[in-house]
Amino acid sequence: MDRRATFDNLWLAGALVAPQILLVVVFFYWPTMQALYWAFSTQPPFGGTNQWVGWQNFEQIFSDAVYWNSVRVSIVFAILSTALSIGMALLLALMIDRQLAGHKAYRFVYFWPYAIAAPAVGLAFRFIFAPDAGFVSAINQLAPNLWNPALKGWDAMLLIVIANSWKMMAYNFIFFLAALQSIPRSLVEAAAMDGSGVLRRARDIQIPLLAPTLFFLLVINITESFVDSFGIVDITTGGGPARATDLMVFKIYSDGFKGLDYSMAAAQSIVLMLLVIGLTFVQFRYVEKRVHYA
Amino acid sequence: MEHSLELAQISKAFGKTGVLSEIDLAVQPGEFLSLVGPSGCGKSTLLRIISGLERQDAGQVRIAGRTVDALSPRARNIAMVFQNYALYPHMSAAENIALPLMVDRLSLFERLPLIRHLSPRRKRIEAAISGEIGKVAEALQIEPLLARKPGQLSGGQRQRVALARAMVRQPSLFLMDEPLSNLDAQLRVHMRDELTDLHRRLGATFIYVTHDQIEAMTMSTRIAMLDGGRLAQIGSPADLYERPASLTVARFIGSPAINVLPARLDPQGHVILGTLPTGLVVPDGMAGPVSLGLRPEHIRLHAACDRAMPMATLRRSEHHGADRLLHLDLAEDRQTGLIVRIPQDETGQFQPGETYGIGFAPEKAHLFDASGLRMATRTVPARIGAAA
Ligand SMILES: Nc1ncnc2c1ncn2[C@@H]1O[C@H](COP(=O)(O)OP(=O)(O)OP(=O)(O)O)[C@@H](O)[C@H]1O
Ligand SMILES: [Mg+2]
Repeated sequence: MDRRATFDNLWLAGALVAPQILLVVVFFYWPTMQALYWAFSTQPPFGGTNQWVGWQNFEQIFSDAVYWNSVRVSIVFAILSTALSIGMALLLALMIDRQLAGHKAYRFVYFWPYAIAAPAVGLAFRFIFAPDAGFVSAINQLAPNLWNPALKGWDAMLLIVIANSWKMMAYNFIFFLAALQSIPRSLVEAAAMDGSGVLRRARDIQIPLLAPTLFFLLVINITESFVDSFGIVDITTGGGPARATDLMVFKIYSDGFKGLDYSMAAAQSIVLMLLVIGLTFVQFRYVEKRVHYA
Repeated sequence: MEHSLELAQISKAFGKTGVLSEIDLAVQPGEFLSLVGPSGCGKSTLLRIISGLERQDAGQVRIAGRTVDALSPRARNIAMVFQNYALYPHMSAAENIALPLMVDRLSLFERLPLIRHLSPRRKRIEAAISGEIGKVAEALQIEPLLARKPGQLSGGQRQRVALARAMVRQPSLFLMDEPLSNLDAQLRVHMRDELTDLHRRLGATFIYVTHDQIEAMTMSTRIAMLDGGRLAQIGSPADLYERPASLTVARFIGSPAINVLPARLDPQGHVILGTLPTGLVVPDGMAGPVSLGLRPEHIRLHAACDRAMPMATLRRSEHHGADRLLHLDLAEDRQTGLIVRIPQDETGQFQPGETYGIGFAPEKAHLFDASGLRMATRTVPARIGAAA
């Protein structure tokens, strides 16, 4: 039962897949190979070709407290923004799924944030949360500098967490809503007949049945918060104050393109890549086992 | 005694399409009431209105004498068995059955992981619950299945688990929406018995939706037939069979379906079939077309060719166990088919292709006016051509 279509003409087959292969090679494998090359070599201070230095770059970053700070900051950021974006998206999707008034309009509106580029999100949040002029500055009237992301590390962290979750929430929302709507209505109705209120219905029936979606979004959100948060950090906090928001991906950029130390940046990006691969592996290996695919 | 359920003037429309109009219904405690009717006539909608899953546009629902219109489904204390059973796929059968009790007796916090261990009464309540599950499971003979998930159960087993989940709360009112329609024919007959039995044992009120008239006839104490969003008739199975209030009811109840022959009233009110008087008279009927309904078992075939009888040709004869069904075509220009049920031992006399005279006892015939409503008739002694 071999139902795959086969090509007799290998040249034609090759020509058909070539564009795709070319894209993947040019934009993925080639940069990765370049990064690997940079990571294991270093540029002589006064020009010339790179010299092979083995693990030296890695040894250097792992013995650097600033690097470990960025790892810690990244993990905090990933946990907070994943929790916030998944939690909020789930809440909104559950509310929309109950078809409260205006649910059709909300469905569209909630997806829009995902269509906005990260730097634009960052810019918007920078204004909203500006300590002197933004909406949130109102709370500074209670006490001076109650809110100041330019001075306080945790304020800055909160700012990028909120901005990133706001964007990811839109994406998560669509998946949750689709999954909720694929749960047979009669199950939710049966639970209502069995005496469950809205909260218990969500806890007993809907959320357990959403487990596969939840798992998928967990993987996506954690990965995204590690690798795709550069734009927001760059525009809102620039990694500060005092490196409180110096995420790994932002540090790669600032070391590489501001500090012009390509080798260190490349080594860090290899570490980040391995970290993301490892996390994804762990999630599939251990978390997925606890998911019921109904 | 208080009615178990009372519906007063219930109306419902989805957008512009009216589904139910002015349904009045009163159900006694302990009754087994079947709601029947053709597909799309609003049976499920009515059930959902009773359960509170759907809100009526007008009218009132009273359960045990209490108006429940403002109450959510959970506050009405009724149980419902869904057509697809609606078992929770991620829970075992036992957990499915336990859920209504858990929700009822434990707070949300007492069911959260870790936090629940703080509650001193949780253990006791859970023990009581599993005792009750055991009892229900025993009654329905599903003890060996309790650990399985719904996906690992057969249709009949799922059905029983769904019943158990409905029973465990001991509601006074059970709603069932075509609970047997997903089962194969044999299992359906078996579950029919079990449900009737269960109804007797529990003594609770059952409202049972079906579009299978045999289920309705065999299980119910009363049948309510919906047609076009209205209550066409309500009564015992025998009432609906023997005195159908309309042509629709007559056609729906009974298998094989009733034979309907076009007839007319002459100015004196005599019912004329073709050119022959039938012995039926409508006391003050207006001349015009009417329909004559004859159950298959009420028609007699006569081999002797008496010209004063309508004639029909035997097309086909079917073996149905104890009975035989004869399919005939009415002679003359009418193409009307006719089905006659006769006991097996009388079949020898009838040969396909032969023509027979049609006779019936006028008091067994049903007469419906042009709009399909039942007409009161009496018989006259001079039964011209209609020998019994
Ligand atoms: N949510 C809804 N929105 C719009 N129309 C609906 C809705 N639910 C039911 N209807 C319509 O109401 C009518 C009655 O539906 P209902 O499900 O009560 O029929 P039923 O008698 O249960 O039929 P069946 O025997 O096929 O189950 C149908 O014409 C159906 O299309
Ligand atoms: Mg229905």
